[in-house]
Amino acid sequence: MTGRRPLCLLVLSGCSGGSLPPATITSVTPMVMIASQPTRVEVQVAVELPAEVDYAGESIELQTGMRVSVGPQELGSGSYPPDGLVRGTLATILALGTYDVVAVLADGRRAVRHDAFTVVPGSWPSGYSVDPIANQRSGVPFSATLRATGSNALGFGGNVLLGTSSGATVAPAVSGAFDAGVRVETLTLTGTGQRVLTVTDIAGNSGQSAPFQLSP
Amino acid sequence: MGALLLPLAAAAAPQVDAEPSRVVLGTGTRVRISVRAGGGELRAAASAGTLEALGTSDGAARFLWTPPDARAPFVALFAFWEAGTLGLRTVTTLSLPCSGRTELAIDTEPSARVTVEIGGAHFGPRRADARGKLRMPVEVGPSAREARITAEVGEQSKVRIVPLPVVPSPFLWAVEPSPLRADEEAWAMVLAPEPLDQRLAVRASSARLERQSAESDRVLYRLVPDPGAKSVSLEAGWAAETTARAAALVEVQLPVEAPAPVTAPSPPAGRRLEVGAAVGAFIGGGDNIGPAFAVTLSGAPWPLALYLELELGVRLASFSTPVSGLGSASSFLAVFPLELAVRGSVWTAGRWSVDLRAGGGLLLGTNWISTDFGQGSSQALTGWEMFGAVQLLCRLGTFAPYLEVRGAYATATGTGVTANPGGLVLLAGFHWTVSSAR
Repeated sequence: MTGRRPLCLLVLSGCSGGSLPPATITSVTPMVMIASQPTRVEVQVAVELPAEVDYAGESIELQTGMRVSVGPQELGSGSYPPDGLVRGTLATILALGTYDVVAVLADGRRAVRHDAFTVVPGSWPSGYSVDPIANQRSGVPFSATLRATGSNALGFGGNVLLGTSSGATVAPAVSGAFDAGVRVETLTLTGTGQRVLTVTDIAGNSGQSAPFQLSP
Repeated sequence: MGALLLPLAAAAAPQVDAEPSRVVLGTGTRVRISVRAGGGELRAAASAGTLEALGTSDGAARFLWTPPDARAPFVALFAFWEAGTLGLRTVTTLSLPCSGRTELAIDTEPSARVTVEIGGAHFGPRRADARGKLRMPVEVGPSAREARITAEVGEQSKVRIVPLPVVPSPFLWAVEPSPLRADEEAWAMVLAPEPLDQRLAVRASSARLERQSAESDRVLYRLVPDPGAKSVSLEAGWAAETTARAAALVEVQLPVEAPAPVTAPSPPAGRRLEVGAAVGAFIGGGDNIGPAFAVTLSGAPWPLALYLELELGVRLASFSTPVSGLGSASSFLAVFPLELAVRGSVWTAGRWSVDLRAGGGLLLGTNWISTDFGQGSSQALTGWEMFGAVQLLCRLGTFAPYLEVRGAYATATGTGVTANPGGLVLLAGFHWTVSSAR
């Protein structure tokens, strides 16, 4: 919030074109994530949203669109939240390393906080299994039970990447977080023919289901 | 002889100066009288002689009074008031002593050396002829009652007191309105150059006088013309006297059926400078609504009923609206008009007048946005306005309150802000005359 400034300054600023001030990311909390543990992150964005005020039309329109991302992963709802505090949980699909945190406004303004977030090594299960899946119809949601296997399986609470053989798609591509090594995921596959569901984490551990038939 | 500055009977009463302040009858002296009033239509009356209006200059109404041909001393009384405001404290009077010149025929001792004293003024000495006769030119003031004649012969002197004839000074009737209107309330006031008491007798023909109030030198009556009377005559004097001290004949006009025609604007008194202020509201559609304030500087640098005006104002507006998923947002607008205008009277009636205004200028302002979800911003605005307006004024001396109805097209824009802080603008304000000169 800019507050109220003296009129003379405002008039001068109006004559200079009246462009909005740049957006800034003032904080990222926490700044470190263990690679195998989903992490709730808060990003504070200071920004003056573009506004359109029409006294005759009795309207105030604010362009609230704002996308915040940590590396390749988006955070929040995609629009300005109250007080500019963007909250979200990062899935365990980020490789080890440091990432920029970026906010992009609907009017094109962009705030970047370089190397503001770091992913450090975590503990992964040695593999995954999928309970048998009955034959399914393309485009019709169904549930599949994913299980972590091997060491660290019971304590695993991360996310995995989901896939299937070529010629078909699976949604979502990233699972929800496991709970004590188990995740019951609602999936939707498109395509036909015999399929298997593959489960992979970013550490390279994987598993797959038994084949099942996907009919149109 | 210095000018006579009369004390005001009341703050609202006219202020009167006379030059000279004393008259010797029979010398051809005429008196210039200037009257400063509040700006309304000025009424004047004199108890004797001829009072001629000369017009207005330097903000004062000018009169020329010619004394009557009579040579007997008396006190001339003048009354000045603004039309429609006949009251004990709204009439200013001027009493002007008028002395008479005459020659006293004196019989005394042969060759006596004679001096005369009248009211503190001394005349002579002159010497009587061998028969003891002498004519002494003297001036007799209206308050003189006797002459003190001193005759000296050798070492002896004789003093003789001779009473002087006293001529009563006339009273004065002030009537409002004049002419009378059968359908309007009327007032009459008798004024005297001496204290009035229970000996005062008034008489009206074709009318009734109802005493209202009085002060030492004036009595106010309500004047009720008889139905159908075309004129009313009034007399006032002392009950014991056979001749009235004041008489007036006033015409009675029938009620006016048709509305009064619009009259041309009366010319201004001269160059004028006024300041003023106003408060009101504007309604410009949607949320273009809010309070309006203005201060004005008005000048008429020419002898025309046309003012150039500089107006500085403030107009405020605000509104709130929900923002989906976040809460509510409010917008507050403050616009400062900086305008030039022209104002002129198109109709006057007594102290009332209707003025037309037209003008335009710049709008500078700021808009603030605040929300309950942490967003706030401000935007500078610029714009312009053109307007036309009607003012109804009532001139009360230097103070003139007014009501204004203004139609204005106003537009002000800034980054992301559009407003129309004009439309219908209603203002109540005043003009105050700070200087007036021709």
